[in-house]
Amino acid sequence: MAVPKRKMSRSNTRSRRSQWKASAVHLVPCANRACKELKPQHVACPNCGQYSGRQVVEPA
Amino acid sequence: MPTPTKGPRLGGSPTHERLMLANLATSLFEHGKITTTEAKAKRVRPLAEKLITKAKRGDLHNRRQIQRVIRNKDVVHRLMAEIGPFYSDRNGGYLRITRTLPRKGDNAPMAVIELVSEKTVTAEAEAARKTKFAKDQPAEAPKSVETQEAEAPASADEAADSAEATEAPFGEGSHAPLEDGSQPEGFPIKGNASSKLYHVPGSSHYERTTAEVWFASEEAAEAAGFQLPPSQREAKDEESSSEDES
Repeated sequence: MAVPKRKMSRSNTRSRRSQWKASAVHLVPCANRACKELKPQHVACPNCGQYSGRQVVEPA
Repeated sequence: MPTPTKGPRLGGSPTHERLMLANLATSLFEHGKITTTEAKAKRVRPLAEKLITKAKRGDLHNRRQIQRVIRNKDVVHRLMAEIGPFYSDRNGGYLRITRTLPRKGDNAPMAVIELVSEKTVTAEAEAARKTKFAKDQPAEAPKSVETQEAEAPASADEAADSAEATEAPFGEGSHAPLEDGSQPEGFPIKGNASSKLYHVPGSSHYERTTAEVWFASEEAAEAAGFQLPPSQREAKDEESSSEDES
């Protein structure tokens, strides 16, 4: 079985982990003119519950 | 042959997947609208739409085909009695999937899958007009045109007493078009019945106008409510005014 020859230094570990990045979610204003809340694209609005002029879910 | 589904089964085994999809379809027909993960919604839609197609046919064989998937007899009855007939004028696309926010806890993409409750645009228009569109009923459309044509000369007949009235749809001094499109004797002016314009011989639009009615003179045309084309009106006014001066 393959086994690491040396202990990985904290520096190397942290250099690797420095590349773990979160990206911002792409948000668009709700198409409902009375709402205009920012929401993820192609998703029923969590604020007003509408999608393309149709009530899909109950607003939270 | 249907294309095999890519990727692993839902739930791990084929039987487990069949049961999950059957349960999802049962809940969907029971409630009309369910919230589930996007992957499950996308997998249940073809199954549920095929069940609705079977429900639309509505015979015993199709009922048994549905009962192989949906075990709940109340739901089967609702599917056959309400949902199937409701979609009689919609050809497929009975279900709608709308994505919603990811689930708290495992961030799974969620979706709402629901029965489409609206009627199609064509169905609504046909209901409003109380007729079928021409492409759906090709035999009916030409008939109605014929009857209209038959009625129009008939009403003209009643309006005027003389036998000549069929020949003069717009009163005295007018003449219905001849079948070969040529000019009737003594009626040189062309009239366009839809735009209510008349064209004198030699004017710019005379040659390209198809006469729907012929007039003996400009006075007869104006008496019938026809006008000169707008481009020629001013010229005529000037002429008449100059004539007055002289």
